[in-house]
Amino acid sequence: MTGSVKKQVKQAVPSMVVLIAMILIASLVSPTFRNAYNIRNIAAQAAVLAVVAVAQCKVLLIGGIDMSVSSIISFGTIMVAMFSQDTAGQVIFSILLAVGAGALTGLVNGIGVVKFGIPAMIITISTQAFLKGICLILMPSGGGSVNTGFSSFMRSRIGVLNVSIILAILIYVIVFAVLHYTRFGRNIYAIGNGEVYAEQSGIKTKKNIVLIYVLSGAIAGIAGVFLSVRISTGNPLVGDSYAMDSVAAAVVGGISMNGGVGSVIGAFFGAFILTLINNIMNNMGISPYYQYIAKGIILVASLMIFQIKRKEMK
Amino acid sequence: MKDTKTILLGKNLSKEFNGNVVLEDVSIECREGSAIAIVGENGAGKSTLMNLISGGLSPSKGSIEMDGKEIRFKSPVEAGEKGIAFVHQELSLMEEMTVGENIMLGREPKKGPFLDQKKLHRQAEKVLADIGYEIDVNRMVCELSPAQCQITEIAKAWSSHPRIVIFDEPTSRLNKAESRILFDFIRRILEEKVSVIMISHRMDDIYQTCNEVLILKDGRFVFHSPLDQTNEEMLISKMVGRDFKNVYPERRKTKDDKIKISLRNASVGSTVTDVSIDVPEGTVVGIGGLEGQGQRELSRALFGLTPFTAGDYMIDGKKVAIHSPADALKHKIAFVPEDRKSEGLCLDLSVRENILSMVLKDNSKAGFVEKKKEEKAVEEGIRELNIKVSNPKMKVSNLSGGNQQKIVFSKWIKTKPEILYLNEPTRGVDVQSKLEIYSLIRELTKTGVSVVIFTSDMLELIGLSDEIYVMYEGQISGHIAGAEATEEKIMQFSAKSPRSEAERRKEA
Repeated sequence: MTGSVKKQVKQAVPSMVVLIAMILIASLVSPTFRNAYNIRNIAAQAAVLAVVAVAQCKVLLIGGIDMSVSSIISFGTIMVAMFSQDTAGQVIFSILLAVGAGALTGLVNGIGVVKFGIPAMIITISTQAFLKGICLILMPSGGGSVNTGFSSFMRSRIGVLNVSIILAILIYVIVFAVLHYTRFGRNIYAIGNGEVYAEQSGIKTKKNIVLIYVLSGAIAGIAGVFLSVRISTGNPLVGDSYAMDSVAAAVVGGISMNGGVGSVIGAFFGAFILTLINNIMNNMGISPYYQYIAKGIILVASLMIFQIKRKEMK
Repeated sequence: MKDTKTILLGKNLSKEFNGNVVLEDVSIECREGSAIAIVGENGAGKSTLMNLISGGLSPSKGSIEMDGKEIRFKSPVEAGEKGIAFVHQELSLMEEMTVGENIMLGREPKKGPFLDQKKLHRQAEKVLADIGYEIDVNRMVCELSPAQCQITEIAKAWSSHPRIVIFDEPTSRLNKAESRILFDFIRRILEEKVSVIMISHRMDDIYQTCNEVLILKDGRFVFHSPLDQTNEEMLISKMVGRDFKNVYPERRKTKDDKIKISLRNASVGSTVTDVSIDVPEGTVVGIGGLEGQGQRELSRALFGLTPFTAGDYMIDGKKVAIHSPADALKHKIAFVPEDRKSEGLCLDLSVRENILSMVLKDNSKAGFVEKKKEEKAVEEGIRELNIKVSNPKMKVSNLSGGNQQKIVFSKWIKTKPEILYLNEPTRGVDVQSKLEIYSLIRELTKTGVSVVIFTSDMLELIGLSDEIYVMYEGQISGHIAGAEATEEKIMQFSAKSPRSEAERRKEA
């Protein structure tokens, strides 16, 4: 690794240390945690969040935010649950619908940000609301079913890992390569560091920003497909928590909310840390309400810690 | 000279914004291997002219020809592709990227679909070596000194192999040695038939590099000539429009015995160590030295922006603890920071709002703003400092450097300070405004204000200060009376520390 890549990847080190420490401690303390079933369960849960976090991470890197991922995920589960029942062709069709809807939402977000100058937070919350409405109309309460062949394929194991986690890792490898080793990736960091200067350097910032939002939406659509397999149905509200959780995963993983700093690997560790916290608290029988509080504290604390650290460096 | 090939010709260029003419009927011809100095006061239209020929603005009237063909740039990027590079006065670097990545941004070499980072850094290294500087291309920009940033910016422009390079105040962040390297580089590229345009307020820059000069005043053409038929006095009088004599106001004749500010063995981390300074009331004390010897840190600590880590800070003989600008204000301290754009002004607010920003309390009653009182204060501020602005509601970002700096002064003077700390108060400021700022500083001392000025401009240091301290590696390496100071004496102090002197003696 050379140049800034090294520094960006370094941002992920604290989250890796925390994750390893959590796994070690939990394994020592709790036999339920060590259970192979539980570990696979964590991996499958984390796979969904990890994929959403990739999407979020890219948007955060250009100094934006994407709150619409939550509705895109719900919409994705509904598409798979409604259209994938019988043939493999239907499965592919439903995945295309999920991903396409995500990309289209991303396009609206991107154009809103670039052409109309709407703050990313506002435009993405608006498209989130719109899409949530569509989800509720299509499927007012959870239902439908996921193609059993597809579902068992995603749950099948290659070695110790199941297919969904392997696919999630594959997405990370691709995004990592794109971010750190292609001109598009370099442009993303340049935009995050200073949009005006990036423009001056001949980078087509607007095109790049729109593309980032489109990709973010599309990847969130994929996360929706993953989630539909986990819950075996479609659900209009199931994606709700992922908007905030994906931001939290990215931030815990060392990605700056100001843009331009951090690596996607951090988001991977962050997703696992958040999932582990849920899992450990579930195993301890702590109410989900407290889990929100725990997540909130972790998010605020890591935002503060990274902010202090970056100030010191300046 | 006239027989060299013309690269770019700007013919009868005019530019107006909403009926306000900022440039009228100015022509410029950039020829291979020639360097034009563009000289003029603030608001003379230099930046506008440069923006017109580099695609930042499009002309209201007139035309631009490149290689004999008429051309219209839609953006600076397009002008860049055609071979026009602009080294802006404001830096435009990516802090979280390396020097190399910044230099090659938008032009990264590729290996298949991927970037070739090694080649990229090698190429960047070569560009820097071409220019004659050494910076580790793998360092992050956020770790660089202002001078290194400036150099990186120049390298970034040069890496695109431009045919015309425009420099806007390129030496404002460089010390003498670094400037000399830049001058050598410019002379070298002129031999390679590159055309150079240089905007600078420093005569040295101009006479070292350029062979012709174009003077603008109030948006109009004043004078154009080969440089060797001119001299400094002549240029200055032409751009100011009057004879230029006795730049610096008279020094104080009598010396007050009362010491206003006193530092004893003060340190700021490892950047400033063991500094002791006395500032008599109503005098100007100058702090000089090469760039980056701890001046910035010392000035910030005096204003409470960073803490002193050791030593005593006394005002009127009493020890004070100044931990924030709010504490500083309580002690009647004002501070004109080094970087007015990020620290001194709210660029997006109006002239009026900036002038009033420090004195909201004085112009309000029970929390409500008193409009009339405010109007009067703003009107006074603009008049006292001769700020050139048609409407106080104008955004500060639209004003020239000199006028912006006057606003910074105005807003602080409104607080009625007893102590004024100035950090590079005339950087990027035109001659006329400089003179006005100098006499303003002197006027203030007559009313008892004590001034400490941190400056890397040697002439300013000598011309303005009653007493001079020189810093080297965070320590005071010399102390002389302003009247006895010469450039040579200060240079001697600037290049050696008292410690190394002592060490050398010990070794001998």
